[in-house]
Amino acid sequence: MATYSDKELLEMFHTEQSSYAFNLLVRKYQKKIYAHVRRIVIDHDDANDVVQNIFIKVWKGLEKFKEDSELYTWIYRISVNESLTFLKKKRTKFFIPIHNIEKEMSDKIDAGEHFSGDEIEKKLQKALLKLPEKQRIVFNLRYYDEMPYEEMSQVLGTSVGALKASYHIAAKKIEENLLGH
Amino acid sequence: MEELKNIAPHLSQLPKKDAFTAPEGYFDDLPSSIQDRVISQSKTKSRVFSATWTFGSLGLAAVLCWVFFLGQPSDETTVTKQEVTAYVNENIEQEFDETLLADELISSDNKTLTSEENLEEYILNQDIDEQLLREEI
Repeated sequence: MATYSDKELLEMFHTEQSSYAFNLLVRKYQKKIYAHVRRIVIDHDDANDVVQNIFIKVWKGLEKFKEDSELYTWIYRISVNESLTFLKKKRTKFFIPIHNIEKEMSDKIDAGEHFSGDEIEKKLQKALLKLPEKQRIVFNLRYYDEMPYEEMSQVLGTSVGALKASYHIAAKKIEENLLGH
Repeated sequence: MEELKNIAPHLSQLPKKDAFTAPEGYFDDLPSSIQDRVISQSKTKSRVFSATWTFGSLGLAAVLCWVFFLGQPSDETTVTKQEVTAYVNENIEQEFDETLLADELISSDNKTLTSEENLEEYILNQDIDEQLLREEI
């Protein structure tokens, strides 16, 4: 299957091929977005719900999408917002205190369903769960997605300096956790 | 990553891999699942719009009908027989032709007045100002 640039997909979307273009867009970004969401919500079924909601929002917003911003950072921004909203709703729905939600996610990592990592990887993921949500997202975007700080700034609406500081703190905490301090 | 080596040397040496996996075939089916949801949401939206439009139109039509009929003069204005008689008595000279009036009275009561006695009896039974009638005669 041919890979189209975001510009080409947008042009295609604005002609009569909107459904086809959207399908191509989903195929282009689904793995990245799934991985990003999955690292935040941990459970596959939850990630599936969130990913579907993200792409439906993308579909609804594409008509009005301002082409002066990057499609890719826009989709990531929706992903971050949807993932955080999901966790927030989960807490309010079940009246689960913060530590219990993290405990629930930690247990899911231990259960190992749709998880191929070894013990060190499990330890890393559990250490990540101990970070504040936004710090965890900053770490994930930088460490796993290798996103430049400028793009992260567009996604999260935070200054580059603040993001660098946040990543620095997150990495330090994880290092300490991995070394058992 | 160079920056990580300085901040977290142990972490920087770990092999970086995505340990979270999806069920087999998940990414083959996901685009069509999303398309199905998009289509069903569009249909729901258009059904809601259609129902809103229909009920809105019916409501508007009902209001217009109500306004239209409210503006029309009512056909059911009730006038009593006494009021009619009083009006006739007051305006008999200016507005009414006595012959036509008599014809109308006779035909409305569906009576055939064949003799003078009948006519007299009929007039006496009606609530007509006798004085005025005598003057006219």
